[in-house]
Amino acid sequence: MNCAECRERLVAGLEGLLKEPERQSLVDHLKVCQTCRAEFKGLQTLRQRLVGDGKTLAQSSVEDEVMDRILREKNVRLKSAVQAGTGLGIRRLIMKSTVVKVAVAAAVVLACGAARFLWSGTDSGVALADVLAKVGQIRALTYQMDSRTKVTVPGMASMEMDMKMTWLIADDYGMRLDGTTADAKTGQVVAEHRVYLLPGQKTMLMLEPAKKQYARMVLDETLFQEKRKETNDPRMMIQQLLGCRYEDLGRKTLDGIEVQGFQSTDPALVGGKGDADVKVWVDTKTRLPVRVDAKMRMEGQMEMEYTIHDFQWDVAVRADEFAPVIPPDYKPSLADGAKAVAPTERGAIEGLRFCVEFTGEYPQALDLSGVMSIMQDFMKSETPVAKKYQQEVAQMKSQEEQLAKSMEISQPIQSLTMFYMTLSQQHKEPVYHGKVVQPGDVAQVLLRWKTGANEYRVIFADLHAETVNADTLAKLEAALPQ
Amino acid sequence: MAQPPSAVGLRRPPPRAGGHRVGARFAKVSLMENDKFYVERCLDGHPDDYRFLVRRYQPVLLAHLAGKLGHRDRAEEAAQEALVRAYFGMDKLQKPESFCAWLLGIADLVAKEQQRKESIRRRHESANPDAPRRCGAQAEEAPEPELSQDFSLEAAVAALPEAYRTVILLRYYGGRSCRGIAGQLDMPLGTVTKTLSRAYALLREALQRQTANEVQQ
Repeated sequence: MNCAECRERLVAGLEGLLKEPERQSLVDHLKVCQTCRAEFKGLQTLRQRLVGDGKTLAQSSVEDEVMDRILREKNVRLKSAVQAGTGLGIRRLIMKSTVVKVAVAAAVVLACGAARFLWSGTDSGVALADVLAKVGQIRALTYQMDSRTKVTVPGMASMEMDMKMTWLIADDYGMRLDGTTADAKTGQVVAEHRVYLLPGQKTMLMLEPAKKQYARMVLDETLFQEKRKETNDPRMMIQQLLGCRYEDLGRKTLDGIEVQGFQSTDPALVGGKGDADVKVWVDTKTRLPVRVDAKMRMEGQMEMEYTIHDFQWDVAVRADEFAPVIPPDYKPSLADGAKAVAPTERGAIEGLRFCVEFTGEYPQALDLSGVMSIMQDFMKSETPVAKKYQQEVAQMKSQEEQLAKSMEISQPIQSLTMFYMTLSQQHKEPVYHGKVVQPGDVAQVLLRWKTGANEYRVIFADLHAETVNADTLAKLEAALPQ
Repeated sequence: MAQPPSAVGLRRPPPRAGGHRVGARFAKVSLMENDKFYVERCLDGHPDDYRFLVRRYQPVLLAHLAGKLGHRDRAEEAAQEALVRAYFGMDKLQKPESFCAWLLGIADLVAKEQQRKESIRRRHESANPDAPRRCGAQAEEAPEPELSQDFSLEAAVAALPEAYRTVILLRYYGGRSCRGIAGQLDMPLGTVTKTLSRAYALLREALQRQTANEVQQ
């Protein structure tokens, strides 16, 4: 190696990038050439100086200051944007706000709950009857559920998330769920939860190990029973399937087990408001399900795909598995002590009243897009109640506080939308006229549903409720603005 | 006696081969994702992920700004300002993979603004000698600006042509390897080592000039 070749390779040598023969040639040359050795030492000294300065500066951190400044600036900008009006740019800004993200997340949770909620039905059939009889005898089970949910709301970026859950259910003790939620696009885990449903206390307890936080939610009797229904997922599915059109897929081998499949694409599985494709695979020997594959699409806005697998039936359980202990270093989250909303007529009326107070009008629809529209309207509304809310949120420093406020504020909406979904699921023919009805009119039908053969319950635009017969309802609805 | 939740293990059967698993798509996000990933995450409404970009580039920015401004506190102040401006201007960034170069451009702008303000302040003070001073009542008593630890080196780096400066900043202040720089700047590894080699030569010349000037003074 000559001097020119040596100079050319000095940096690569310093960086350890030379292959062994080349490195050895460089070393040999440096041993014999004083000029190149001096050059090499000069480079080494400069390099050490750069490394030292880099280390010194790495000790300084502006991270917290930058993130705090961004949060403060966002609140200021959000407030200005909300006061200034609407538009695409503003919508983009609003979508970056924690508050709206939380609201969107709440709507997603609501939607997921709704999808599961709709899995309740009591009609009986024959083909799966022996499977139902078998699972009906089960007192305790565990299974795993993996799901992917995509929510699309017009005007907003779609949200897609993966959930992975392990359920443990015992009729005598309650339910326990360990779950993880991840952003489907990136795979990043966004939440980890452990949830207990405690029958003795009519309480749901949620632990968040990553944040060392817990929240207890008190449920009333109606809601508690509904939550229990939700947790009986596989058993409810068989029951629901029996009430729908389904076909026998025949036998095949699945993971070494001979199974028989049953498939239903009956829209009734999602309350008649979308598409469903559910396959249940049952062990031909035990007559117990081994896997469920499901795809559901509700009104084009929410798609859910999930697999339930790794069932273990009649597992031995201990009471202490359902007796949560809150570790001493866990703190109550801001959501602790919240009262869960129940899907009742009264709750629905409160939800409608809340919308009028906040936006001056009724929501256009009570489905997912309606909920999202309400949440967006809150941030733009000029009503005194909405402005007060916007100011409160803008002053909150932490995302936790904003989350708690958003969850609190959205409770009446949850009650309203859950009530509407319940009516759909129970085939009570609900019809909502929020698009054409103005608040306050004593004779305009806002929401109605069937309660008997010739009987309907009606919530009017002034938010009083009455029971009317079919003829009266027809006249009232004929008088509605087009 | 009840066990703490962490000790209560649920039954998790071992995974079976061939089973359909939606959950197979789960994966923890790596902290070593590229800039484009984090920029897109921020634009998708995950502002907390901006933290990773701040962590990655704060020493780079501090070195760059300390070299331009000479003062450690002012460099920190300017770095904060540049990072905040970058966050709110991210939707205008055409090439997310060029975040670093774009951020340094913003930092240059912030540094120029600071220098202009400082120059106005000095002019104002010299025109109004009786006006209260920012750093004490008497100019003679005002403390000298606190220079960064190795200001002469940082100033020499800041004065390098952009291509050389970027490679030096990424290598020594951004903690990147030569291969990492090659990947980030989309250039062959040999070009990175050649650029480094030339940058070293320019730095040594600049530092020698500085030393010669000091000796003359």
